[in-house]
Amino acid sequence: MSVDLEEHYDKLYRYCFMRLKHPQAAEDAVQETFLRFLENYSYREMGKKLAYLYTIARNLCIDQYRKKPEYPLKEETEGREEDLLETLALRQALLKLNEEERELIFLRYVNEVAVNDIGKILGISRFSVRRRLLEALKKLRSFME
Amino acid sequence: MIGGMTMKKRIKKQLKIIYRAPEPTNREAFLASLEQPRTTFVRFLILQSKYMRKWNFLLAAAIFLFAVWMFKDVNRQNLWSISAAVPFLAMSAATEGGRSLRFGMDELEMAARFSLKTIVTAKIGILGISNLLLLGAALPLAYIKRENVFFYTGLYILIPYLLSAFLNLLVLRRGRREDSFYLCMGITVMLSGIFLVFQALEVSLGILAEHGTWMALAVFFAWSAGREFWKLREQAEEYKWSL
Repeated sequence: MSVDLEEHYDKLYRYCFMRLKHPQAAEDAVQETFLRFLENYSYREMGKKLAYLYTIARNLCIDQYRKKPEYPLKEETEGREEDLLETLALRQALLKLNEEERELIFLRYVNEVAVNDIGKILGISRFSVRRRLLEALKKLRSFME
Repeated sequence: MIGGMTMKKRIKKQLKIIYRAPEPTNREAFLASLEQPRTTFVRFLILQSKYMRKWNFLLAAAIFLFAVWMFKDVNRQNLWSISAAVPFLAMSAATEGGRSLRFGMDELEMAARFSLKTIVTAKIGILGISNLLLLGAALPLAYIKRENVFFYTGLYILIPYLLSAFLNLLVLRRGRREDSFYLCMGITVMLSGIFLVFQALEVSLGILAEHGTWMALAVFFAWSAGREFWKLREQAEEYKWSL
């Protein structure tokens, strides 16, 4: 199986899970994203058209959130308590950011999406992306102190 | 610095923990359904060349041998004969690339593994480049015979080839599918006829070589042909949307 496809799938799945907070909904969204992308482009173009891939996923998540399907709740997995304690301060600080700032932070530092692509996904210039990222990081630091 | 790690690095590390998602359950099965058998670029080109009509390659070989024979006695009149033959090379490349569009095979190819755009690019590319290489291989024969004839030879061969490529690709892109082959043939015969008339009238293009105008013409026709080729590719992709 192609390493690129797996990597794109995992990252997009993580993105959809971040937005939808449900693994089944996130997996449905990412698979739908892949299918819609492949209607217009080949899987080899995923790297070059990353912003388009994320845009499809983003729109699907927004639609999914509006429809709110009835997915059964999942229990927390083991070993998360230590992580919770370690990251408590940051979790609380993240809640104080607005949704766009959280999304920016996620795309850049978790999924490692390029600044140019983030700009295309969110419909803003790359200068705005950099500026807002710096502001969001500054806020996080101040909330954590 | 906090604990040997900068605040930013610590935040990044913790972010990855916070946003860790549960393992997806259906990833392998889904991706396996998408995964297509791999092929290399060279294998793809070889596959496409097998589908191309053999007369294209025979024509290229014939014109190459004709050029080699003409170079036995290199003079401007002989070069015009080569100029008259070269447009047929460009026509064969252009019409071969447009064959899918002409015979309505585009729908089938769009449902196949490789897009119509890729196939058109491959066919025109294979023939276009191989023809240019053949012509280029013949050029040193002129150089060996007489030193400064090399430049004239380039003039007499390259410009007709590029002009013919430009006009044929333009017809393919703008003309009606059913009539495109006949229009291409008509243009090619007309160009060939013009060069034969130049030969009969003993017209010399030497003045263009002296003033560097031939370089500008070659660049202009090369750019025009490249532009038409690019637009043809884009048009092949647009057909998909109109289905």
